Amino acid sequence: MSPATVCFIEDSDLDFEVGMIAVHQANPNAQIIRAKCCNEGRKIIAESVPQLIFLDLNLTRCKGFELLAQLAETFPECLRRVVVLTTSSNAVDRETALKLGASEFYTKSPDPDQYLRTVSTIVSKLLS
Amino acid sequence: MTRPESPSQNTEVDLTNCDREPIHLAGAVQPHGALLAFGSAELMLRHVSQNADQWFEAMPAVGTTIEQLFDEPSCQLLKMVATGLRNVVRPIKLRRLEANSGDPISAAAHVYHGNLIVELERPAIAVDSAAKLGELSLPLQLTRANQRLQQSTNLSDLYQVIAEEMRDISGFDRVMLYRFAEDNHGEVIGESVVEGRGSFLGLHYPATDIPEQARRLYVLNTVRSIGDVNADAVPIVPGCHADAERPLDLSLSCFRAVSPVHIEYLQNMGVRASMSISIVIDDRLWGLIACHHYSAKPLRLEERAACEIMGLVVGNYLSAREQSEVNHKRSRRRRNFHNVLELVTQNADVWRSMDTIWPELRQIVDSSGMAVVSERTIQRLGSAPSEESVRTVVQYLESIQEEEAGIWDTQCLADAVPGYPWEADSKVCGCLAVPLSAPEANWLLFFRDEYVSEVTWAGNPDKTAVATEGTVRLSPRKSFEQWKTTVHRQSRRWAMVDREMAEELRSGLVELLSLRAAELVRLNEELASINADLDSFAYAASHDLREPLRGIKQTAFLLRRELGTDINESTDQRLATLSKLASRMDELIQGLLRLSRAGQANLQFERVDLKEVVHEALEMVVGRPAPSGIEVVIAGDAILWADYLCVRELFTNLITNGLKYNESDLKRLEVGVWQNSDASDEGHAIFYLRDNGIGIAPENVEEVFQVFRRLHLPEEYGGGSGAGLTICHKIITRHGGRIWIESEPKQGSTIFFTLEQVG
Repeated sequence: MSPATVCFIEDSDLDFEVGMIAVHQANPNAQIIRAKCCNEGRKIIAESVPQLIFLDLNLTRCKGFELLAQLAETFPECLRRVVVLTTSSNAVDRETALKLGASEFYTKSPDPDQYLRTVSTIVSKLLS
Repeated sequence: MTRPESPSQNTEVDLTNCDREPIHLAGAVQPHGALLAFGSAELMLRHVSQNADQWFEAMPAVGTTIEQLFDEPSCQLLKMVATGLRNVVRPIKLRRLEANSGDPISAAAHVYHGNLIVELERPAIAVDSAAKLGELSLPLQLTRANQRLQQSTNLSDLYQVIAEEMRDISGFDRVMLYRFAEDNHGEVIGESVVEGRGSFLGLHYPATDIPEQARRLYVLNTVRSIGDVNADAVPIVPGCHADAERPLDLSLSCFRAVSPVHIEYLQNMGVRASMSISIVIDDRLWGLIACHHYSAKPLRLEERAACEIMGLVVGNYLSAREQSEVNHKRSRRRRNFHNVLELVTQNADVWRSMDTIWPELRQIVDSSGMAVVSERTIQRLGSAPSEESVRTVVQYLESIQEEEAGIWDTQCLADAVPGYPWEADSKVCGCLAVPLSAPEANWLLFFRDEYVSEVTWAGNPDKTAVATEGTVRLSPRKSFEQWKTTVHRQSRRWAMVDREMAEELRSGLVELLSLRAAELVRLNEELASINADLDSFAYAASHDLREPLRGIKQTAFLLRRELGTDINESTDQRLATLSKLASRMDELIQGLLRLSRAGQANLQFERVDLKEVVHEALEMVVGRPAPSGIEVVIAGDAILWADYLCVRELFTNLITNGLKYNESDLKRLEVGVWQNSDASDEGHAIFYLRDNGIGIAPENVEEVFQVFRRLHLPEEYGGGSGAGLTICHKIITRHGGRIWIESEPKQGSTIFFTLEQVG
C-alpha cells in the first residue's frame, strides 16, 4: 500500500514546519507536499490527488476561498478532503468555508503545542 | 303666554328650545315704526305693517308701487338702494307723494332676500328725543367719546370708559359692557348706571340667556333696540307673500318685534326699554354693549346710527388694546422661547434631564407642571399628574388626533379625557398638549392646577320649564338676585397667547429636532465609514500583528525541539521567557481588539431580558451545565433597553472576573437590580454583580477600569489581558450609564452599573 499524501497549501514556513512534525507524529509514512499559493495548490491537487489537504485562508496573492470555489467547479470530489486551517476565528469565515464545501474548519492555536496536537489529531482521524 | 312658534303638542323642553325660536321671522314690528316691503325688482308693495296708515293718509295696499307712495326724488333714492349693495341698511329721508310741503320722514332702507324693506320713523319721536339730547350734537359726542377712549391706559379703564360714554350718548339708565366667554356665557366687565339702581358689574349670565340664533342676528344686525316692552307689536300683512315660502325675513330690520320670551325676561328684570350694540372682532361676537332703561325709550334712527358707529369704534379699540396686551405677553415669552431653542441646540441630551429648560418652558406656556412623553419614558416636572394619568391622556390624544396632530387643551381633564383616573392628591386639572412626534419627545404636556373660583350669576342660571294651558314652555327666570356658584376641578382657561406660544414652541422644536435628525443621519453615515475603516484595521491588526508573534513562539518551539536533550537550563529558561512574552503580547493585542469592537459597533437598542442575557453569558464563560463549585443567582427580573450583544459582552467579562479572581470553594455570583431608588439616575436602574472573590483594595477600585491595568502578576489567576473592565466601562458609558465598584480585600466585590430599564 502506497503511503498517504498530505498537502499543505500554506505560505507560512513555520506553520508548515510544525505541521509536518504533526503529520509525521500521526503517520510517519505520510508523504507531505506543499503549495504556497492557490495556483500551485490547484496544480498539486490535480497531479498528486492528495488524501488530505490543509488549506490556509490568508495566502499570498489569493484567498483560500477562491481556491475552494475553483475546486468545487473542477474537482468537486476532492473537497471532502480539504480541511481549512487558518488564524481566523471569524464565524463568517467558518460559515463561508463550509458552505463552499470544505469538510472541516479549524483555527490555528497561537500555542505551538496545541497547534501541533490539532494537526496530528486531524491526520489520525482522516487518514485512518 | 305661549310662544306662537312652538307646536302645542310638543312637550319636550330643553334649554336649547330658545335656540330654535325663529325670531327673525317675527311677523310684526314695534309700534314706533312702520315697515313697507317691496319686491326689489318690480318695487311693488308685498308686505306692510298695520300701523302704516299713521304715516300715510290711508293704509297702502299690497301691489302699490313706490311711485304711488313717495315723491320723485324719494323714488330715485329707493331705486338706488334697490340696485345697490345688498344687506346694508341705508339711512335716508323720504317724502310722501301727497305731502310735498311737509317735513321728510326719517327712514332706513335695505334689500334682503329679494325684498326692499323700508322702515319709517315716527316724526313725533324724533322731536321728543331730540329735545332730550344734551348741548352737543351726535357727531361732537362721538368725537368726545373717541378722545376719552384714546386716553384710557389699560383694559379695565377702557371697559369703564366705554360704558360711561355710551350712556352719555344714548341716555339710557344703565349701560353695560358684556363679554362672552368661550362657552358663550357672559360677564359684565364695565358699567355706568343711573343713581339709585344697583350695580350688575361682575355678574355672569348663562349662555342660554342669548340663544344661538340671537347671537347670529347680533353679528348680522349690530344694533338692536326695544323701545317699550309693554307696547303691543304691530302685525305685518300678509304674513306670507304669495310668491314666498316663508314669512318676511326681518333679520336686518330696525323695528323688528320682540320675542315673547325676551319680553318676559326684560319685564322680570324691571326693564322697559333696551338696546344692544354688537362688538364684533374678527367676525366673532366678542360681546355687547347692553343698555337698559326703566321707562319707554324708542331710539331715533340717527341715534341708532351713532350707536352703530360707536360699536365699530369700541370694537377697534378693544381689539387693538387686547392685541397690544397679548403682544406684550408674547414678546416677553418669546425671550424664554429663544432660551429654550438655544438650550436644545447646545445640549442634545436636554430631554434626558429637563431641569435646565423647565423654568423657561413654564414661562412660555404659563403652567404649573409638565410631562415630556417619549416612546419609552415619561418625565414629570413641577405639579404633574401620575405617570398612569399622563399615559391615559396621551392614549386618548393619539386616539383622536389625525396624522397631523395639533395643539389640544382643556381646563378639566376629568371631563375631557374618558377614563382619566381620579387622583385625590393631585391638584392638576388643566392640560395643554403639544405634539412633537420626535423620538426624544413625542408629546409635551403642560399642566395647570385647580383654580377654585366663585362665579356670581345674575339669578339662578338654570332655566325652568313651565306647564301652561296644556303645553310646556321655557320660562325666563323671575329673580335676578345674585346667585353664587363655586367652580371646582377646573384650572384657569388657557389663553390665546398660551396656545399661540405652544404652537411657536412646537414649530421651533420640530424644526430643530428635524435638523438634528438630519445631522445625526449625516454623522452616522460618516461614522459607518470610519467604522468600516476601523474594521479593516482591526482585521489587519488581528492577522498581521499576531502572525509574527505566532512565528516567535513557533521558532522557540522548533529551537527547543532541535536542541533536544542538549539544551542547557539557561537556554531553556530564555526560550520559555520568549514564549511567555509572545503570549502576553498576543493577549494584549486581543484585548485591544475587543475594546475597539466594544467602542465602535453601532448600538442596536432593543428590549433585553436580564435573566436571558446573564444565562447566555454564563454559558459562554463556563459552558452548560455550569461545573460544580460555581453558583450563579439572578435576583429579580428586569427588561433593559440596550444592545443585546454589548450587554452579553459586559456580563461575559464580569462573570469571568468574578470567577477568575475567586479562591472560595463555592464560587458564588449574584446578579440583580439594586432596590435603592434614590440612587438611581433619571430613567436608569442600578444593576449589580456581587462575588465572593478575593476583593480589591479601596485604593485600587478606580484603577481597575484602566486598560491593561492588572493588580496581579501575569501568571496569577490565569493571566488575562487586563482589558475586561475597561471594555465593561466602555459598554456602559456608550449606553449613557455609570459603572463603579464597591469592594474590600477578601470580602468579595460588587460591581454596580446603570442601564435604562423599561416595562
